[in-house]
Amino acid sequence: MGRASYLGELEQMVLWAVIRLGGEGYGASILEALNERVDRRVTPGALYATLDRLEGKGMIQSRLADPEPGRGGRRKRYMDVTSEGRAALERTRSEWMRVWEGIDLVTDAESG
Amino acid sequence: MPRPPRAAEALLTLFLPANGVRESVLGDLHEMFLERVRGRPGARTAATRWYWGQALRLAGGYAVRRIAGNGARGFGTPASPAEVGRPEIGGGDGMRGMIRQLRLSTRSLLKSPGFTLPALFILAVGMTAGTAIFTVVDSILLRPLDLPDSERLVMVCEDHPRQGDVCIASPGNVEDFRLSVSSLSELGIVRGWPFTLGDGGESEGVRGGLASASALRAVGVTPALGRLFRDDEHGPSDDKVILLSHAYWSARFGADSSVMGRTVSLSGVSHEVVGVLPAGFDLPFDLAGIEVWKPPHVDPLDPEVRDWRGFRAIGRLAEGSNVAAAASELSRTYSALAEIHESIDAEWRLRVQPLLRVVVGDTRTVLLAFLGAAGLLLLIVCANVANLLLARGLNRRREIAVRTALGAGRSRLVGEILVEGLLLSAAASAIAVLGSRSAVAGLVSLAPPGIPRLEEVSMDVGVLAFVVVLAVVVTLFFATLPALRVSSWELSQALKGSARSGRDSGSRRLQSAFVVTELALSVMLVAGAAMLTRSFIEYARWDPGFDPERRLAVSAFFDPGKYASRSEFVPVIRRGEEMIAALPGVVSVATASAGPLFGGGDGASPFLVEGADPSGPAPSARWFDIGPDFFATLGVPLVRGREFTESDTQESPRVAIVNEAFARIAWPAEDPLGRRVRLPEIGGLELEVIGVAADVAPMEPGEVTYPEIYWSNRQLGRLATFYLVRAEGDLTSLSSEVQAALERTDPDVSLGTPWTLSAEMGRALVRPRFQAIMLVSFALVALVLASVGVYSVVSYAVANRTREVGVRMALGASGNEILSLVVRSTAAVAGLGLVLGLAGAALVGRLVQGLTPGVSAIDPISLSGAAAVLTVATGAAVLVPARRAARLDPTVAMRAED
Repeated sequence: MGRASYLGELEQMVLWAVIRLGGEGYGASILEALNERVDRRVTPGALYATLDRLEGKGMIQSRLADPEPGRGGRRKRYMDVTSEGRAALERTRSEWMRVWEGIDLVTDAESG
Repeated sequence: MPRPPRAAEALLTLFLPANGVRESVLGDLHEMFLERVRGRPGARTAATRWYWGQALRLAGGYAVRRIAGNGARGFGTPASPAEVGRPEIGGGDGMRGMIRQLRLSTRSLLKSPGFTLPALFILAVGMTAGTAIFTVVDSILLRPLDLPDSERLVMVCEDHPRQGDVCIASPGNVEDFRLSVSSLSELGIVRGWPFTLGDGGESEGVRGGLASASALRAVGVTPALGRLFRDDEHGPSDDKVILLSHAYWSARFGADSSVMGRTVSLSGVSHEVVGVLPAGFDLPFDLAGIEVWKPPHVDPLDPEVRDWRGFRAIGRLAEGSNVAAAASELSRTYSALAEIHESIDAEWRLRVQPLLRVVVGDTRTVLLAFLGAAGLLLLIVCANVANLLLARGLNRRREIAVRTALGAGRSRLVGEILVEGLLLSAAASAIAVLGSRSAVAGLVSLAPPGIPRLEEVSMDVGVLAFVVVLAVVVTLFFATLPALRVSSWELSQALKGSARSGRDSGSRRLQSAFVVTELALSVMLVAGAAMLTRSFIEYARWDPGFDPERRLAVSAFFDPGKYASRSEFVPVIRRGEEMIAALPGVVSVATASAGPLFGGGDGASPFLVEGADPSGPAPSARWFDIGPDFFATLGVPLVRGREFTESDTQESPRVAIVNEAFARIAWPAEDPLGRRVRLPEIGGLELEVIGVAADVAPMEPGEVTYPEIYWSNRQLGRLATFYLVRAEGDLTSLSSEVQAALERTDPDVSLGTPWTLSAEMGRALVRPRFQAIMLVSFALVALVLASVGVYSVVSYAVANRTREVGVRMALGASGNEILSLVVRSTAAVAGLGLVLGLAGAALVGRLVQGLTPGVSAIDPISLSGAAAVLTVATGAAVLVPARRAARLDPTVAMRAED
């Protein structure tokens, strides 16, 4: 599948957060979810760059909601995962699982 | 309700993509900001700081991606809902986008040569001149000397009001300082001292020097071979030792290390080579290039040499001390010494100066003046480029307005303009990098040999980087400024106003301010250059009162070890004269300890004339010893009495010749002949005046002729003398014959290289000429830049008023009326620039007065000349576009768009 199928670490985390928030995730809430769950400081700049990139690969899609007063009267941009996004995350997960299995085998062989 | 900092929001608005992304990101940040403020008192400041941090990071990130990704998306893409959230850049497209944007910008620049060429020219010329000058100044003035920790090296100078601006000290006083002060960790003496060096059969003159062990320790040199001197080798020691310079060791001894411990003959005395100094080690001043060093042969504490202030004292500041502390400690010690030693009278003062400052000396004023000139030039360049960019920006407002209306984000437009600015400054930088290398070489080749440390001048990357960064920053700033000023209100104005001139008065004022600045700075530079040129002409006009043509001079130093008394070497000096006089082509020959264009100069001493009150203030005179026929050989007429002859001997009464300046002071109303003069500081010497010589005009314009007194070297001669030869025929071949004749007189004599007085006179003019050439070229560059600047701004302005001109002409205005309209609108601006420039020039004149002897600080000729030149240049720059406007066809002009 080439480049498009590859998911970087931050991309996986962001996709995970988008899926978890079930289509109701937007910049601030995704950032909050990431900072709660992952022990790593993710800055807004890094998040938006990743979101843009994922959207460019067609793995997420966004829609603008209605203006809200708590945000200076600005709209939220809700993110939802696409089927490609789900497939890519699933693929990446299984690839990693295989990698880990492989390492287990090596470890077993060495210890045994 | 708290809200995020508006300025940070504005910044983000500028750089975020103009679609849903911008709105949602601002909303998210707003939300997070409130989250941070809420519930925590005093958290507001922290939240604001956080917001700014995020805003800067986001703005930077988006700006970079925007420039990189611009071309990939084409321009003017509307922000349709379908596109909301679409990435501005696809990762792989960045490079391609950048290249495409560069291509677009290049095309856009090439399409408007009326802007691109002047801008490129101004930037490139200004940067080249700026870099070259900064490089020369930086190399000579700002870089420390090539000695370890050279910024801690100082010179200790004994100053006397009659001595002039030299930095010298006596061995005895220096030794006392060395032993008693704590603010200097080391202090020693050095001076030049020519030797002849013999190794086996042949002996040759070498550039020799005396250096105490402590001086070598002070400068921090480590020998390449062997050792330095020891303190007990100072003075009349039995251990005669020498050090060789690396260059001399390589040239004379083939870099053979077995030379260590070898015994060579130094001016007839055996010395042992104990060390070789490292390659590249050199001291400044006349000490540069010394080949053989030996310790001073005098005992520093011998009272006889207490007043021999013939050495340079170099010291190193102790840990934690500084120049001021050393100066105050040494001055205290000096006052204490003055109470013990008679040779330190009440007028002697002690001075401690950083070595670098002494080395750079006079050059400092010159270089600072050039630095100022380079600064002015860079300012002119900035004003010029800013002006051009503003004019272009204003002209593009309509384009920007249309494109913005079609949905192009402002940040994209700003990005485009940034790329254009970068392209322009990069092209100019490339030209400047190539050009400044040759410009530096050119400046160095123009420079007279006397400029210190010239050989160290090399292209400095830091200097170039400074100028490039300056150019890039100025270009980018003024390129983006007009685009940023396009607010939405102005957009509609710009669109509506396309039929009119479309220029707001604010921008117009800004442009006028730039023209005023540019003109004012140029007037200052041109006036400064004119002053220097006038001063140079004063130098060139020097008429010494004698003909320097066909006169040769050579310095000779007879070995003091060979002659026990004066009566022994007077015949040697005389035999030298006779040997030279016998050479074919020689008209006459004479000797002198110093003289005009010879160099040297022994010093000045107070004198008392017969009958004067000895307690009153004594006038002082420079003194020289000379041989018979000196004035005849030089060509200076005697106005009274006679020259010295061979009949003035050790046995006959001591006689003197004075110059007219001396006679005017000593005997204003009487005949000087037969009068007696006493020199209390020179052993109470008493002389009878037998002649008065015409004054030799001082070489420095604006200086007064100093009183001078001469006595005969047959009566009071010294071992160092100049031989002056007046000859016919080929002086080049004669000079080697003169050397040979003197070597036949005494094989151990140390001779300087013979030179002709006319060549020396040319050399003396080289430095003022160099300064004048440098500043004049600066002024020319400034003049060209100012003219180009004024021209381009006025043509832009006229072009912008094309429609107005057409309407006026259609309404019956004549070509001449149009001409005067255009000229009038510029005249006020230009006039203000000239007036401000003249005021500035008067100020500059005061600052550079030290450089321009013979020219007053406010020199009417230079000022009016500068004003006239710039008026003409500005006039030409205005007239060309004005005439073009006057010749316009009204029907075409009225259809013109901005």
